[in-house]
Amino acid sequence: MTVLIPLLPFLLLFLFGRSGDPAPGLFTSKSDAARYECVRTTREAVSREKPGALKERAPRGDFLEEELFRCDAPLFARGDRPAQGDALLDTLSEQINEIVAGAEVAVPNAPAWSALAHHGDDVLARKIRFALEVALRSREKAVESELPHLSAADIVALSQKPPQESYPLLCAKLPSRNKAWLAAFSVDAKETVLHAGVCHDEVWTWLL
Amino acid sequence: MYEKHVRKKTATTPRKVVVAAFCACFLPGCISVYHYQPLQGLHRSYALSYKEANFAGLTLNLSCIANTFVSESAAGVLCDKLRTVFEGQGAKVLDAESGDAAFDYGLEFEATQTYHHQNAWMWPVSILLFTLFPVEQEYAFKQTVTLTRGSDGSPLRRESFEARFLWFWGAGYWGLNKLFNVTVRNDSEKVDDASMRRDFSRDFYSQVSQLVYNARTRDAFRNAKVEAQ
Amino acid sequence: MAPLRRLGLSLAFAAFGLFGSLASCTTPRALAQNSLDANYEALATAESLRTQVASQIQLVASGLLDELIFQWSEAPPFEAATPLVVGGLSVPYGLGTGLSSLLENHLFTLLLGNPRAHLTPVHCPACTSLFVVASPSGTTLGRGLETPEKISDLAAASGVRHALFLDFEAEGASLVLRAKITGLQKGLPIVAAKTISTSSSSPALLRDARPLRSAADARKEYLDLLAGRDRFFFPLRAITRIYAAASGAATVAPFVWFEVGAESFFTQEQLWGGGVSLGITSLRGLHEGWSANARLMRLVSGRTRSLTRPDVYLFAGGGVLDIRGENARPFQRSPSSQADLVRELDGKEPRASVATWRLGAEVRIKNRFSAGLFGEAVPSAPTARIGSYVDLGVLSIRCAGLEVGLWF
Repeated sequence: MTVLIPLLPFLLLFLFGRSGDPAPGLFTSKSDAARYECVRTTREAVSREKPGALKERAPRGDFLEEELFRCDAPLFARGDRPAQGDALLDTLSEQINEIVAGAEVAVPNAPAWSALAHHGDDVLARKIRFALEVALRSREKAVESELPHLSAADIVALSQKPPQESYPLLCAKLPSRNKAWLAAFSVDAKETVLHAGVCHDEVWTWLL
Repeated sequence: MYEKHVRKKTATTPRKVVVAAFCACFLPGCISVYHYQPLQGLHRSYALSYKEANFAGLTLNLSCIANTFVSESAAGVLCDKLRTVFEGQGAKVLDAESGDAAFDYGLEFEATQTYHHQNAWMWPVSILLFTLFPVEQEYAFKQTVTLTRGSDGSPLRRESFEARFLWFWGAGYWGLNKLFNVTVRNDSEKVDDASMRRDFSRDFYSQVSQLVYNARTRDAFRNAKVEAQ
Repeated sequence: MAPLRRLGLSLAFAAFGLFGSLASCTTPRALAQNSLDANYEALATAESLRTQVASQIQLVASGLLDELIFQWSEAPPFEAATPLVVGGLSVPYGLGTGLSSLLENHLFTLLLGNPRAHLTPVHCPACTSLFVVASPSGTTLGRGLETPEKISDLAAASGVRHALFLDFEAEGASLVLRAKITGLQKGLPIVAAKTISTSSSSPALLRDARPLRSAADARKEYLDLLAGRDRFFFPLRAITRIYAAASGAATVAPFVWFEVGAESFFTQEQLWGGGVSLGITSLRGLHEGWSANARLMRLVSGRTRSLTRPDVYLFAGGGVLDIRGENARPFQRSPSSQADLVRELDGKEPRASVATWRLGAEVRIKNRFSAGLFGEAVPSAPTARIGSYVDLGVLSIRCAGLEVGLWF
């Protein structure tokens, strides 16, 4: 046993050298490591992005091996908020842009646009609708924020049909003569992508 | 004259056991610790569990590509595991005997090594220091998954998942890790081979399952679009 | 095996077995209680996590608001100052209303402090209150701003014609701000919209709200603040030197010096610096003197100067003191030199010049104020009158000093 004691500094030296590693280990818990999305990078890339962030290495070498990672921490790690909402929102901008781009192709000359969204969670539905409206307006479309008026009976009748049938029926009830209605929705609690369609001149077109 | 009672010293059983155990620790897998770090694509939230019946009525065709990094046998093992995962979720997975049977989606898996590092000098140093100083090996690989439509082979989605694995071999590091597991870490934070395999499986299988699930739900509306046309 | 060792091992195994059995022994009631406790603990952990995330997001979200108002100041959505009501501000999914209140306050500060944006916030409680409106087509329940039947009434009553809506969302590592201005008329047309996003790895710029500057200017100001705008600093110090009395000798009177100098730092982080100074001391009838000093200093309280905490520097230096008057006698070498004897016979006051070596530490607040302590060695001063506080072998600390500085 007394022979091993002088060898402990070597282990400590090894551990000290690994203290900055983002991988889970003695210094980093698994939950902390799981927060970071890391990409291996080079000294040159870091110097370009953040000059002065790294200490200069000795010109004749310093017998140290170096690994550099650029790690980004999502604002919400997995598990911090409900999974389906989190997954949907992580790619919201990408999906919204894809939907709006598809809508522009499907209905190139609509004089005005409105957006609709549906999700089991009202908060998410409002955010999706907000994002659609802002994306449409950013593309210089005339956008109106008013919601359509539907009777309670219509809403009940439509909600009892599968979306593949109910949205085309809904299109018939929307004032779509001089306006295009862009709808995005999620119908399944296990999916993390949005479906979308556009209603114009009482014709419903599926986009996604 | 008096009789001396001389006790003969022989190698005692406990000492033999200790020596045998010490030598056995040189076997790979003993006194080693694996760490798994998700790098890209494996952090994302997913909304389903790959242990539920998510794909009832779905037929899949799996293809695992062998290359310089992945041998034929390793590719076969991966496809076997994925078959188990998808069949556990209610899907039917075609095999080599299925011939030209129709399937809904094709999944192609190709892995490439993005990083590998090991210092040969660590072995003699570690052994000389009674493995208090560990041997370290690191590699990272990227798994590219391509989802295609079964009817026409058109690509639907391609995702890449990158992970990093660190392997430490040595009594010192293994002992410290064991101590942390027993004293400091709770069950979900324990670091050992079983938890490494479990964590990676959970992340990878969940992401792949989510990919297929999203494609299936999207296709449900695409089919409605085709019918309307 | 020795009996004692055998007994010890048995006890150890027994203790292990007992511990193991205790750990695994649970009753159903205990299990249920444990489950309830675990739920409460999980809720508490989740709440704590949300608070932490909200705190982290608040600064970044405030920065996004700064950028939005700055962009509208540069390119206003309206030609003239336009009253509008803040119709709603929603925070990232998963966070609560506390953050939205903080951000709303910040938004109002920005709108009031940046009139160039041509957006004048108006207080309109009815706009966000719930209304029930019965009409032939049906009964509508909604906020004032979202109820078409009420909008025209609200606009007429409050004079406001537009509403601003904001939405923050966390998308991976980015925080995204979406903003829209709607007209309060039929159809609720959107007259302006913007999307701004930032990564969580970008530090918040912490711009002053009135008036806002561009991100580039704010970053330059931030870097200037860190680096310090000036190359040279001019400290004015008051120093009290207290000399140790030699055993059996009378105490040497303390000397109060005033020094003025110039200092500069060698590195951007202001880790290393140096300076020179000239000092004077005077006590009527007792002494007059001047000094010349130089010092080298090193920051020890961090890797760079702090904006929020005092900085601690260690310094080492040396100097020359020249003192005339009665109080110079303890510094004169004994036996006095020929020149000293001649001076006394001529009636001139005593004079001594000594070299000093100084080691000390000082606390600085933002290069404006400092206070420090040091120990000084005066090797050439005789030991008859001046003793030693600490003898380090190589150096003997014979003077303790206290200094207070103001910087210009």
